[in-house]
Amino acid sequence: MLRAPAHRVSRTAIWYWFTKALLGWLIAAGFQAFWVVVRDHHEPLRIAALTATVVLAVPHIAVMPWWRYRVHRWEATPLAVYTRSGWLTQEWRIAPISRIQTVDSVQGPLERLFRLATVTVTTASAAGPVRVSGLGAETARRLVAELTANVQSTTGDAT
Amino acid sequence: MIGPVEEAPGGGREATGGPEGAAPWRRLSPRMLLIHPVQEVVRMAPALLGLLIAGSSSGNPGMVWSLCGVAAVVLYGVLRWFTTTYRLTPEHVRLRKGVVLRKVLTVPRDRIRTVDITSPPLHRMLGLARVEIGTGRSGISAGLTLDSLSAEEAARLRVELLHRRGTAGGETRPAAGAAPTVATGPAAESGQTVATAPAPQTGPPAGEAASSPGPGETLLAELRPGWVRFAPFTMSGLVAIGVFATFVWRLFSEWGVDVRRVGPVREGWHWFSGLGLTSQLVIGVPAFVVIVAIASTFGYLFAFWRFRLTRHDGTLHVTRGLLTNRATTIEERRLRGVRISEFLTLRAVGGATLTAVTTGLNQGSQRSGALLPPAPRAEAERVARRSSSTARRRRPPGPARPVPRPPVRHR
Repeated sequence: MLRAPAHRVSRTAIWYWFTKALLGWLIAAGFQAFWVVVRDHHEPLRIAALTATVVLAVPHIAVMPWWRYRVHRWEATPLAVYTRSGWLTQEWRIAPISRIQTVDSVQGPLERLFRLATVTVTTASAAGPVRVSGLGAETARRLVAELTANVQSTTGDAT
Repeated sequence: MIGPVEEAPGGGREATGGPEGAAPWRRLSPRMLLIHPVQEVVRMAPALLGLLIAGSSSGNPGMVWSLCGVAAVVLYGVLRWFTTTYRLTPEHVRLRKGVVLRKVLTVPRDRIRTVDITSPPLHRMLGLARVEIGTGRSGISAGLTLDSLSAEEAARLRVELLHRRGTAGGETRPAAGAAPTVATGPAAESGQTVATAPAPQTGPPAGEAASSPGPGETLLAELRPGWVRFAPFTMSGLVAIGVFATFVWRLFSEWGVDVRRVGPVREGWHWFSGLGLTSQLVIGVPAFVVIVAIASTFGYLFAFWRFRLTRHDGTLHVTRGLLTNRATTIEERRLRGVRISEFLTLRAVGGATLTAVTTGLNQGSQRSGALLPPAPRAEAERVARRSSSTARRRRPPGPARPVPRPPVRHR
């Protein structure tokens, strides 16, 4: 059995995921509510749709952030980057340092509000980049610096 | 918006610390303050046009709205310059960018495979060049793009990124075989001279920096005017016509104009549909072929004008372009091979194209890996042998040419 990566993400990430989910559902529900108010036929259908949205949204917002926090883990060693992410579907990924092509860090407006950042490690793999989201901004910076230093010390072709 | 911009450089320094913290964060050329807004307006053109149409139906306030839209887009373009900084250290190239979404892109120096310098017409007018740094990952987010630096700065960066590293991996040095000086020291120095030589002479145009072969450079191929005869057979015009037609069609439908109602088009169509099927074919097919041939020829000239393939200090260097100058540099030890392909119509007239097999080039545009314009097959084979020869010669560390090289196979 594979051991879990060593570090948890920042606790603030819970509230970031919470806000993000809440905003997403509010926009969807807002449109549907507008629809219910404005139009005057097919009433039951539209009310049913709105109800369904609310029924799906509440458990998602209430459960997903905390669940995610328990799942999301990461670790960077001189040999590999190791991540676990997801909630219902969970993904474990390992990228050898010697295969890393670029190391990016991204901060969206909402992430900036919570002082969080996402580190994206691209490899030549067709499975796409390895992402570590929900890191504290400072941790993210250190991780990027550490990865870059490690990558530079492993020469080779990397494909 | 300004807050994170100002805190950005400081944040980076504290994060990396150590000796590399001394490397300064540099900005793109200030001349980009003119280009960024134009780029943004062009990119947002459909939305702005929509705003204009929606506005014009509601009278005067609508005009105000669309002006506000343009102003916002221009402001965003200006902010792009203020939010973008980059830095080179001995270990990596790092780019910070993004107005709303802040991004820090880091490419370790060791992972750089290609450097692609492009100057579209607008950039050329202002003496600018866009630098794309390619890694082993290919695709849209393949590497790192600096849009744009001054032409001299771009040329300097290219040399610094690829050639200086060539000095470290000394085994690629025999690549510059034709140069009289093959010893490591002089070759490395000549690399430096090439780096600085273009700087004084390149005032306005970017790609022209390479028009005279530098000390360590070997010319492998150059466009010959006669090759233009292959242009009509590339059929690249089909794509161009398709793109153009779609663009016009979308423009008209965006404006709510039915193309079939426009005077000349309607009359032309009326006349054409009045003909019998035979005459339609007799007129239509040749007309179509001629248009495609003309478009292909223009495409060929635009893409491959002043085409030169040179080898320099372990890299292959391609410069080309009539309006848009492009300079692609591929590190030879990352070149996996070359591909000769003969498109049906091109094969019929004895022509072939030659492309590089390597990672790090923009896969989206077919021509980015071109090592030769569509040219006579014999020429393609000759260049294929010469450009892939080092890769083969490097393997056995024995004498320079132990066995006659096998002919390049193609299907």
